[in-house]
Amino acid sequence: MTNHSDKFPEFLSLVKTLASSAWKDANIDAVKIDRWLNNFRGVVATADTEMHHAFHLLSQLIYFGENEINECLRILFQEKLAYQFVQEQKKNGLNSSAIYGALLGHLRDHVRFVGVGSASESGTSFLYPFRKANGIPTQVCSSLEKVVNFGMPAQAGAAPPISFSPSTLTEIIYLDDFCATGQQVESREGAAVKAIRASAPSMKVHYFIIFATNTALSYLRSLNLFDRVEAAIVFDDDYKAFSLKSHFYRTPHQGIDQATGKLVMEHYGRLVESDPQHILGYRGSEMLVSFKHNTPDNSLPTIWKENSSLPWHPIFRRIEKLSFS
Amino acid sequence: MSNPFYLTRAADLDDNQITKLWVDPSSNLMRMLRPASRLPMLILGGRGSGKTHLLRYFSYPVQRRVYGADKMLSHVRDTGYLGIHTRCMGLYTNRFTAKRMSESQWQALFSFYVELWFGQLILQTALDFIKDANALDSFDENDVVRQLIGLFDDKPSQVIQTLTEYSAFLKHLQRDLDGQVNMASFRQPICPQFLINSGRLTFGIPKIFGESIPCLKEIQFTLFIDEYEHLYVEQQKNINTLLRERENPVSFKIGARLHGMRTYQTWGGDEELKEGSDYELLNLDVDLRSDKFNYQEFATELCLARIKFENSGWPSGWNDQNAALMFAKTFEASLPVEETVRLQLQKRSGDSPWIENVSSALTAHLNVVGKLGINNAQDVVTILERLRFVDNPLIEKTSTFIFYGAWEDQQNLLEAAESIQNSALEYSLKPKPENLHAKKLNHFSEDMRDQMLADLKMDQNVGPKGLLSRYLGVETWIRMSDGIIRNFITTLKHVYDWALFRGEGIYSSSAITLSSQSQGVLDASRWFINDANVLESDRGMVDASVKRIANLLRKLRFSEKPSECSLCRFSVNLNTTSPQARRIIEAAEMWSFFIRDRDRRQRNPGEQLTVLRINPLVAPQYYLPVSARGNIDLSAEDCLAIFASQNDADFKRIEREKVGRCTPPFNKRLIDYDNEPDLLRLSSI
Repeated sequence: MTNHSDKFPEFLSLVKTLASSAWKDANIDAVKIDRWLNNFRGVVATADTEMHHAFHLLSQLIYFGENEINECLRILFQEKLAYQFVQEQKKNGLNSSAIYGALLGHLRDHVRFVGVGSASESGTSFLYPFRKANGIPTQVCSSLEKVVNFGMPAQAGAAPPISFSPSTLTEIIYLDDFCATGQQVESREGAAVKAIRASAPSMKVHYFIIFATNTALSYLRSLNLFDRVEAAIVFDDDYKAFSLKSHFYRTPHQGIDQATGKLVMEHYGRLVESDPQHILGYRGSEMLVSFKHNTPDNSLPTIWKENSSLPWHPIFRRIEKLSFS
Repeated sequence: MSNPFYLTRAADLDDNQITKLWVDPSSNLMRMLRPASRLPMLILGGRGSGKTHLLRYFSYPVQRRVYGADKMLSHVRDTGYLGIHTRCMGLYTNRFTAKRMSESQWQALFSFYVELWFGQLILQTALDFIKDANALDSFDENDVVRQLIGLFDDKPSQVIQTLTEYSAFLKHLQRDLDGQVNMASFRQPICPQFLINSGRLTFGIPKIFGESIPCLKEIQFTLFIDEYEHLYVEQQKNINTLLRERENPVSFKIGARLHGMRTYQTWGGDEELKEGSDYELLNLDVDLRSDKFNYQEFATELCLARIKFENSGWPSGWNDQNAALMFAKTFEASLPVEETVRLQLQKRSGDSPWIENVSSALTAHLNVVGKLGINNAQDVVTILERLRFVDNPLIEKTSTFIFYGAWEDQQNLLEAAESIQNSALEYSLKPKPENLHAKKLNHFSEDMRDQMLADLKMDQNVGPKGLLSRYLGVETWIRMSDGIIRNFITTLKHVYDWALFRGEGIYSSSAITLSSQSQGVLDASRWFINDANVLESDRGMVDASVKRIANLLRKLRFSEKPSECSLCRFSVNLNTTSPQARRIIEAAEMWSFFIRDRDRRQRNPGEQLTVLRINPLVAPQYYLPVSARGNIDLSAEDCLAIFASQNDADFKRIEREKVGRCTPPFNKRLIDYDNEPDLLRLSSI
């Protein structure tokens, strides 16, 4: 295979540095880069121009490895939950070890973290590292089925009776990894959350996300479905590859421009992604993000989509969810 | 597969790695260090010259790994010494200053701290040896401890009966002092429990051991004090005093960077350490570069040791007999320059660029060369015909070089071109020593080759086929490291990094491509420049100075008529150079951007010049030669402009003057650089 990457030494050097540091968990090397660049055959521009633009976008990708994700999980717990509790307890004049004991007791008796989606999905899979990163007792991270027990309603149309385990529970916190639009969590957990609210109006239900867009946060907060919607890392429009505010094109190298980049990604996005509304990422998200556990479909599909019939070789391959219909 | 050259600093290696990665093919290093010698030694060397590895290897913990604990009794008796290694960085010397205390108070505290530090090290090493020698029962421990306690003027209140308890006592005193020194900004006065004179423990403990413990009788305690440059002037005076007032059975080997000895003074009046009587000097990288040390063999053996260690044995197909050859073959070889040039010329139509340059120069300066026999365009055509030698680009290029020389000498150019034509033909058939081309190529062949590549615009952007190809291959990297072994290891580290990133098999024949080699060399060169921890106040000026002198040498080297071959050296009279310029030159030398040559040329009788060259590891960024031959003399005014001037205008003027003399029309006409394209579009630091 031709070493296409050698033609772009400025990006090759940068990506090599990334591969050995921030992208270390992704095991990216020049062979994979060249295989990915080889996808671009010179249709909307010369092959070298297409590769140049693709390489530029690749160099802008934000990767969250294990260390970074663990740090985000710590931010989520400490800054969004624990600190508030600690500040309140300090007003009561408690010392540090007493506050820590009170926090653990509060979690044990009144708080449960549950994952979004089924047990095998990514939102749920973060419960374990979340617990480990923050030293939280095991029983505090659970599943909705174990925490909430819906009974049969006394009559049609009535709210089902509900009981909680523990009975002293006052806060249920959903934990999720990535939220770009907010629609997925609304469709998956909306009914359950509404049922809880109808049957136990005093119960607080929150939604904590590791990574979210400001669009998703605004949308979810407007729904009034959750009492609090919080994210450790928020992506704004600067992180949309082809938005006017995109910071991926603020100081581009010579020969790189946003219009050509978009043209290239749209063309090849159409090849790899059958649904036209997703050719630049799910519902036009245009993101350039990948995580150790997977690449979200909000990222440009040319980065992650695998297509053996084309063929198309992704660089940060996404593991798609399979379900039985 | 992992990179066998990942760790480059000896300080980052553990004792096992120090042992396994030790290379001393002809026991030269042991002979150089002479660890049992009574006369103390100063070991000076550039960063990465191997001082730490050398000192750590001969220390007791590592020697014990090499020979085995059960063999140490006989080994120490045979060698006659016990090696105790310490790093000055561990003392955190910047604590012992300011904080509203006087210098004399800090001096006393530091002196005591050093005694506790050395005392513990000596005690622990001796205890380790005694245990290894199964000699714990061979002496009266209580009596020894009683004598050790007697080293303090005041008797400690606690009961101390064993050596372990005595060691714990010293540790307690050190920790108490640590706490007080650390809190000195907030809590004063500092009042240590004890204070003793300098040397009481350092000399007293070994003396007591030597007299009381049979296995330590007549054994020297050699303190290897590393990273001496981390001590301030007053602190170095303290240890210099220990050196000067040394008592048997103790000696010292002190490792320091170049210019790391901030002072040679001691606390004994105005006495200074004297080489020859108080210490002997080992210039480590200078000696490693010298003929008496086979540096190439040493560097190769070191690489093989690393590869074997990293792979827990030889890679597949390698063995003790073929490893050196297999290692050399791992790297893809470059094409010879002439072949590269021919291939490039085949892609062109018309004349070679150096012939075109002659044409342009003559045409541009017709008014000047009229005096030299060129009167019209036809004369120019005639000259070009005589200079052309299409069958051999190197001969043709050399012809143009000789022609420029004739122009500079104001010869009749038509006649000169004819002589050159005859010489070229003779050289291509059977050159005699007095042949013009033979004489020039004897000195300038590498410059001519590099100039051909430059004329063909084969700079960095072309990748490893162009000028960068001159910096590839293990032999070249060994030469580029110039006696600083870490520079060689670092180059390999970056090359292997690239090879692994590219998925190249790093132990197969020709596996490491020219691309990986060239990118690795450039990364190593950039690392070298960024790694220098020059004082912030001098950093900008050192960077600018290195850039200026390197660019000047490059422009001279690639001019039409360079005066010297393989130009990468410059000479200065440090006595007449301004103090500011001298400081910057010395800072650049301390951080090994410049390397001092042994030559001290005399321009005028009685004038002593210091000859410095650009570190070869910087060379790839400026296309300077790796082997140093040519030199330019810099006047005091030149030095001021290059090394001390805050603005570039002074330097540009000097540069124009010097380069102008090597460029048509070879007079003092100043070249207008703003409007003349550079031969090479190079990136620089």
